[in-house]
Amino acid sequence: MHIGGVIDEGGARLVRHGRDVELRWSYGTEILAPLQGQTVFEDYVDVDKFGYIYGYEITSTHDNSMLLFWSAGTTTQSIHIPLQSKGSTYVTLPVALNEGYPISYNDVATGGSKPGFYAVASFGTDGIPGSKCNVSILIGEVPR
Amino acid sequence: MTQQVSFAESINAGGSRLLRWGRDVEPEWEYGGLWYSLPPGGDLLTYEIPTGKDVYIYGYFISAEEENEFVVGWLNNGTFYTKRIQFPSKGTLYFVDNVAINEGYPANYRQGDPYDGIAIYNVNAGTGNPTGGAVYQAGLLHADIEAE
Repeated sequence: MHIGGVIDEGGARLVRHGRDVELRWSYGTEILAPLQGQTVFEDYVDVDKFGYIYGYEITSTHDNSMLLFWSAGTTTQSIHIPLQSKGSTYVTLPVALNEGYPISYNDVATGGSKPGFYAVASFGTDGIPGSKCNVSILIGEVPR
Repeated sequence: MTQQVSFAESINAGGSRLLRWGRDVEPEWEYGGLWYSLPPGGDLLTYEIPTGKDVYIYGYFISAEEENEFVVGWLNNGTFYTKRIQFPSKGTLYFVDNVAINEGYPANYRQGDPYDGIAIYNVNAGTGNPTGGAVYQAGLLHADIEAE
């Protein structure tokens, strides 16, 4: 008997990600010389979904810090990510880094009419001319 | 007569949590805010232990814009336990394990204990001033269960 005969895909996802969700990468575009505070990545989840962030990829050709932030109900949550130097980092986790604070629309401010957002901003110094950065987010969306 | 049940039929959310974490729990993150220019021993994050709970630590997040040393500290039955984390430079660290780092020594609070929470703090002073200094942040991946 092979394992594929005794476990289904939903069960495997429960074990892998803690919920029956299929993850996907949301790729950002390459940003040239991002200014301090500039949004370098932005994406949304539908109003009828919760979004869980299971990882990120950041590539930067200059020493910088990034701020990952997202809407969670009436609050905006944020994670500060300093980069040691120019370089690339991939982080994927078995548990969402926003477990307990899923991406969702702002119930009060928007009346549920706008989707929840998740974004990354350049938080450190301005990029020098010719510098580049690129951000991708590993996301899982489940029905609210 | 023994009834055979496939894994697909027997797995459920509780079963998957047993496989993922060793107990039927779903850990959640608690994050501190952004801190600038912290004094030595400044709490980046304090998670208050709910009454009657044992708390298991399945991971942590630390980010700092400079070299420093950090401590995760908690009380178990009145004894203070620590995990020390070295940052050789600025950087970001996500650590998650499927075995709690305090397995066997869950954080708890007993009446009369000097602390009622789990803390992550920096050992050395942060540089800069309160508005423009080096930025620090910490997070804790915790699971709370009924105390034995």
